[in-house]
Amino acid sequence: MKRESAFAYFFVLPALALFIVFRLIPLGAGSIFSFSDWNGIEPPRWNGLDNYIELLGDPVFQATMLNTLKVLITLPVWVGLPLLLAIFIYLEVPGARVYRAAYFFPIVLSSIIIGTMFSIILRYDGTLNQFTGLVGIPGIDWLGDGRYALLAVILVAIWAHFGMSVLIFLSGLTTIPPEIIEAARIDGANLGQIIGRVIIPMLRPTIELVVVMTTITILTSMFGLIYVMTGGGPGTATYMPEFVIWLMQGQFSRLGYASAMSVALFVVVAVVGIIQIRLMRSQWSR
Amino acid sequence: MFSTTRAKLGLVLTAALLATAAHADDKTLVVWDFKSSEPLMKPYFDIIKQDFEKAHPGVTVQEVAQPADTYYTVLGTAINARQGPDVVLLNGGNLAIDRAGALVPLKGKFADILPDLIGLTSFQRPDGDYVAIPLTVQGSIWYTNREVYKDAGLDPAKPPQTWKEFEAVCTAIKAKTKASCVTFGNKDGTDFINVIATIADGLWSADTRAKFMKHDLAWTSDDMRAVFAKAKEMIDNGWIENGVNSYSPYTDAVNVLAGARTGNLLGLISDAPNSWKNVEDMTGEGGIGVALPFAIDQDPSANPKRLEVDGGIGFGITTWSTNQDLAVDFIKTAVSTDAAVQLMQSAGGLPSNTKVDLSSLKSDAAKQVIAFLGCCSVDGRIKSNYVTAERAELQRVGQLLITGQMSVDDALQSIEQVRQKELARKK
Repeated sequence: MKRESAFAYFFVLPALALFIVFRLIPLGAGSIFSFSDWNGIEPPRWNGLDNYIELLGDPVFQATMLNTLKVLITLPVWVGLPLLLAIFIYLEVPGARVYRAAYFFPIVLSSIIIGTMFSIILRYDGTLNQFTGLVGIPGIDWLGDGRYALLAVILVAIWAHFGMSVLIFLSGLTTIPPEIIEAARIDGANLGQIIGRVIIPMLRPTIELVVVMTTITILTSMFGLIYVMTGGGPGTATYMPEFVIWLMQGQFSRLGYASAMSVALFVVVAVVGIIQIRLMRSQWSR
Repeated sequence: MFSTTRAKLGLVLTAALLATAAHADDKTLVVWDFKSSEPLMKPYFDIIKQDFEKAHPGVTVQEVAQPADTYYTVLGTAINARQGPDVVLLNGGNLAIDRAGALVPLKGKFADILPDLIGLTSFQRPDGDYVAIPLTVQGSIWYTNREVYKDAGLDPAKPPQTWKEFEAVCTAIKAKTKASCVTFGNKDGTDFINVIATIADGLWSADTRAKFMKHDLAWTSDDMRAVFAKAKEMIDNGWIENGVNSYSPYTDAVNVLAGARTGNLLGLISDAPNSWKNVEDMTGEGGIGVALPFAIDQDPSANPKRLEVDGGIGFGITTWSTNQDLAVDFIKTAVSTDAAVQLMQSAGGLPSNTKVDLSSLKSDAAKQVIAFLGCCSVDGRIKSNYVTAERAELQRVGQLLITGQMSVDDALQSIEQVRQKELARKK
């Protein structure tokens, strides 16, 4: 048994080492620097909780958090849409194979390519407005007007990411024995009942996984799209935490403050993740 | 047999050692810029690389073209990591001076060529030393589309000189054409900062300007409020092209002017896609006019020097570079007369090197710009004097002012708060 454990540790070691070097140590170092005013050139000046106090009153950080909340509110769409599409593919609607390939397509494109593509489509003199102009609908500055920019980025982000969720759901669906669905059909269940009463409850662990992964994606991986499509603007309309952290450490050379933002983001991701898992577990156990 | 093998082995080892030794002498000078990917600028960057490598056998110049809109953020990351470039391209003003701690002071290293250069003040540290050596001089100027002017019943040879004339031009263009009156590229809020600086330039007295340059002018002051009121007038009167918040200053805005979709473009005088060379190439020779920033609420003769000029782009050397002597030689190559002529001819760059004969430029637009440089320029630019944090806030609020999502009062209050916060932090 001891020998088996040692063998297991041996295999875990490389991943553990990478985790410690590239995740844990930077996290620790970032946490320490978050108590400093440091421009990356001169030695850090330790300033206690000043950065965290500044965060609480920083309108840019507040706007960023508000944007994050707005995007999190759309989480059901990020998860529900791919879930529904995966179920339809699983139930072999006509053209299911084509849909599977089509939905997977955006995943192989980098966010920079997707961002550039949609910038051309959504800009004021872009394809979408030219098209709507043909039917007399006045153009909207999707990326340059604060009322629409975040919505535009969210829709593009959903398009860019949902293929991966479809794929995860499809792999989850293969674990559901077809006999159960067949039995439900024989018992007279309609499509809605099969999805709501049979498939979704059996897909519970996969849904949990997708919810948590998507939340992390929303909070930490929209950088590329924002960078290309809006540059965070107009104003602070499309600022998301990782984008602001990047600006703060690079453009403003405020590494201590950027570290405090990173710690705040880490706490938010952890808390939201824990709440989600607890909520879902209590929901399922009823 | 054995001795032959040994001899061959010896030969191979010797060759390998010689190759290694030669390789050890090879050096790479890493140069970061945000310009070499522009087609007009590429020949210049190619020629300085070629000339430098020819003069320094065994040294390779690795030019890394970084994206212009996020250059200073990427550069900040390199500065924090103390890794990356030996030589960096910088814009004049606070964008360069704010990074003085990461840049080698250059006054002593370039003493022999400094008397031949202009535009140095925008790279000058408070102690008088320089953080970078300018390649070009730069300033904001208006370009007009003559076709749009004609369509609006205006005289293309008489672009507006005053705010009142500008108002008349915009009213005519709006009434008689489908074009907008003004365009600029405000994705990331980039060009709103130029709009504000241009209005301030035409409106402020010398005293107010000096106060701003010393960072003594509050954003909530009456002088600043007057500048924003004019910007708001442009917005409220519908003079500005729809969609500027999603347009890039360097490509989209120029396309809009060249396509006769606007009458006036706020551009630059040198080495940029929105400067005379590219604008004229795209619109066609004789298709554009050039105008000084307008005199506002004063007679143009009372404030004739409205073309603000300072160092445009310049090369600095990073403190962590292990190739500082090579970097000095590279920059000297970059500002040399031969290279500067290439910069002027291919990219429309107005060189910092005063030995270059500008009269060799034959285009109409270039001649007008050069004439304005002679008669009507003033040293130092308001735009270069924004502190980084104020500049970022100005970019943000500018976009919101354009979409009507923020009032002038709130905008000014917001930038002033940033200014006060920065002042407190620096104490």
